[in-house]
Amino acid sequence: MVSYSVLEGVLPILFGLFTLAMIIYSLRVFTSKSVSDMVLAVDALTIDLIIIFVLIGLYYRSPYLLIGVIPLAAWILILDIVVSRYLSKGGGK
Amino acid sequence: MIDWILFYLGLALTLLGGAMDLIASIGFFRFKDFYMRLHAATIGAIGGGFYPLIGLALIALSLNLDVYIKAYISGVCVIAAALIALTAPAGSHILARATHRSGEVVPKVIVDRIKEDMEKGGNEP
Amino acid sequence: MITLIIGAIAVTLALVSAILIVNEKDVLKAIVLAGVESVFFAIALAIFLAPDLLIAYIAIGLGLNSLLFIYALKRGERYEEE
Repeated sequence: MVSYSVLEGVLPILFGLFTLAMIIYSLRVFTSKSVSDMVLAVDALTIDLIIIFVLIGLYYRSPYLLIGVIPLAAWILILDIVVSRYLSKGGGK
Repeated sequence: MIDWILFYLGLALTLLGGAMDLIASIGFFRFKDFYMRLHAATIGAIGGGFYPLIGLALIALSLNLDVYIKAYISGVCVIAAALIALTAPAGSHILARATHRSGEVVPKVIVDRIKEDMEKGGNEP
Repeated sequence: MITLIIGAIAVTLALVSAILIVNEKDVLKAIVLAGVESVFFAIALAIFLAPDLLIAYIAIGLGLNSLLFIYALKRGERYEEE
């Protein structure tokens, strides 16, 4: 069995990588020109945030914090379907 | 022995996923068009989401925590990875199709056969 | 300690998106930005160890909010006038 302190030494590197990606994705979301661009960046941002949720659950050693992971993964498809249905039913430019 | 192999395999997958996530986030700024940014979105979804979740599931299985914590974390990771791998490409495809049909973003191309067919009054595919 | 830094970054990004919602003229963009703000508050709630508020924020702030507002937008104007 691997002791937990080995993982504790590696966790700041993983947090740093995914937090840096989160900041760059959110800058892309805030400065996008069209709605499709924004929704595409929100997809990638949400997938990045799912991994940060799992890392927080591993950091606190509490499995109850992972309760929001599967609804977030389902929300990606829901947002895509709703926005593209609105666009293709005559809501575009 | 087998748990150290699982730990280092999972750690390598997670670090690879983090690097691919950074590459995809820079690629969102480097590509110029919406239809080009779909490539970066694919790398961000599969390379930056599927690989790290599988790696974190392997890491959680190899630690010396209680059994129910390990099983819960790795099960949630595997289910979320399967959900992402099934739904992210379908979502990108739906979004690109609706964007091209509604004219929200006009592609900068030389020949656009789909637009010609739509103006000719073709059947709805 | 490192989770508190991530919480500070997430709450700052939520503040930026809340400011952008107020100044936005395209209503569809504003709805998507409201979802992004809810995601950042959800990550702050996970850092402060509140899973009950977290599941309520994700279910209501993301799913129901986006569905209802875009359904209501079908019968309205997409672009705000000055």
